[in-house]
Amino acid sequence: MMLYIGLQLVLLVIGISIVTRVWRASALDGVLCLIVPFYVLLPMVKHWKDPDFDIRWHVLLLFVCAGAVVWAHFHWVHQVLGDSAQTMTKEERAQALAEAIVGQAGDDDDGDLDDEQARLARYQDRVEFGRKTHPPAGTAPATTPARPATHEPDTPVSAAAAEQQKPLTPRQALAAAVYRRGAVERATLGFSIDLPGNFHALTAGDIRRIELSRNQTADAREIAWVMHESMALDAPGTWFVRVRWLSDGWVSAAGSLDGWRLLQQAQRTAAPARLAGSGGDLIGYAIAPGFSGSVADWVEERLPAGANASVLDCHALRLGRAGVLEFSVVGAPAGSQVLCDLSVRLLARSTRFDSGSDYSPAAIDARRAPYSLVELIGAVR
Amino acid sequence: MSAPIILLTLALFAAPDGADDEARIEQLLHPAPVAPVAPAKTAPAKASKRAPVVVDPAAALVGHQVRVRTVDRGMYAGTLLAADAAGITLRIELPKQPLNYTLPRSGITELEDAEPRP
Repeated sequence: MMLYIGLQLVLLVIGISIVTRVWRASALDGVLCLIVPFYVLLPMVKHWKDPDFDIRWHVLLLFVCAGAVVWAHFHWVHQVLGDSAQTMTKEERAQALAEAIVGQAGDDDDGDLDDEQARLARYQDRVEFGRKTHPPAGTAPATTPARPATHEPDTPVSAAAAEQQKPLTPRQALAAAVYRRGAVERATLGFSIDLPGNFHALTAGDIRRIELSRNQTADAREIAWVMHESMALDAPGTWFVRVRWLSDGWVSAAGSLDGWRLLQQAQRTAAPARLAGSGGDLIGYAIAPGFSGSVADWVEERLPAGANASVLDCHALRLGRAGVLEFSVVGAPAGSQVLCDLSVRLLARSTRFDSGSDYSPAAIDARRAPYSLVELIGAVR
Repeated sequence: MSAPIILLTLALFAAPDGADDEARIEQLLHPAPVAPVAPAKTAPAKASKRAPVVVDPAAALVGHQVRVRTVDRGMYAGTLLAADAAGITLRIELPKQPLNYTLPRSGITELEDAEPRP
């Protein structure tokens, strides 16, 4: 800072001496030197080697000092920015990071689900500030190409940089989440979910960030979490609706939903997992499967592996032309079947497909899913 | 003149299902406080009158495979282990281990024998 001020003073003195010398030769040139940039070069050439009015060395000094001032200015700005970064609190850094990711997430909300893994890898890169990342266990490898190896020596990690590499804590991730009201739209998939008045939603970007902060495996099919406004995500016993898009194609709803048969089959054989659930074993249906107006809904009472109390998994499926929109509450407390069934069913019925994307009993030319509705209901992990 | 009035009346009364569901959800999430009920004055029991002996039909199914339907459209199946006034206990064969599961009697709407008939 002192260097910068000193150089500015030297520059001022040189400028005055130049103008004084030029003024003595011609008042007009002196005025023009003050007003017109680089006009000083003209009197310099005009009075070259003139012992009374020669300003060669003055101009040389002027340019050298001007260069030094510019350098000192940038040096000072960098110093100020570095100081402010060091004095930033952890929360401020987390908030700034979160805002950056939220901005990115907002841009991504209308994107396709096919590149969810790539997005996840990108978020990890962002969260960990370029540290070498490993995808969470159970997820497909990121589709982004690996960085080419360089021969640059490893730079030592400073304490501040190491601090910045820490991922968000669950509390920070929740605090940075942006709750949306009104509707959750996925234009590329051709549907929109009208949120009931007292419900709000978190979309894919926020969900990924929260899952990362909890060290949970990301679910690439998940597009939103919907919850009642009175439910805090970090409160004990809270529940929310997971909205997932099963993009496997048109699903046949032919045949009747025989609850007894489904129950018997589920208790005898382990079917492949397709819907979100608590795992473990199916004790019974707290609400038996039903299907009406392209919406199926049911509530399972399950005993998760290693648990000594049962939980409820509530499901509603809204069939579409190119896939199925799943609404699931996982691990709801026993006895809450009516509430959680109402919630998932309400959301399923509040879904609007664009014309041409809505369900029709006949597949016509749509791609067919490798399972039927009955198989989908029976295949809960 | 009357047509708009009829349509308006219909629109008012034919509220969408979603509105009903939303109201129900709010009701379940925030139940109204229940006013304390004053204990009913009970007349002293007459020793001379005996309560009629009621035979519980569920008792006859103990040991049988049964299917139970509940008030919330629920379905449970298993072997009936016990039945009393408070509830019934089923033994449900799960893939990993059997489970003894009790259902409250007040929540049961139907209990039927699922044993294959000879």
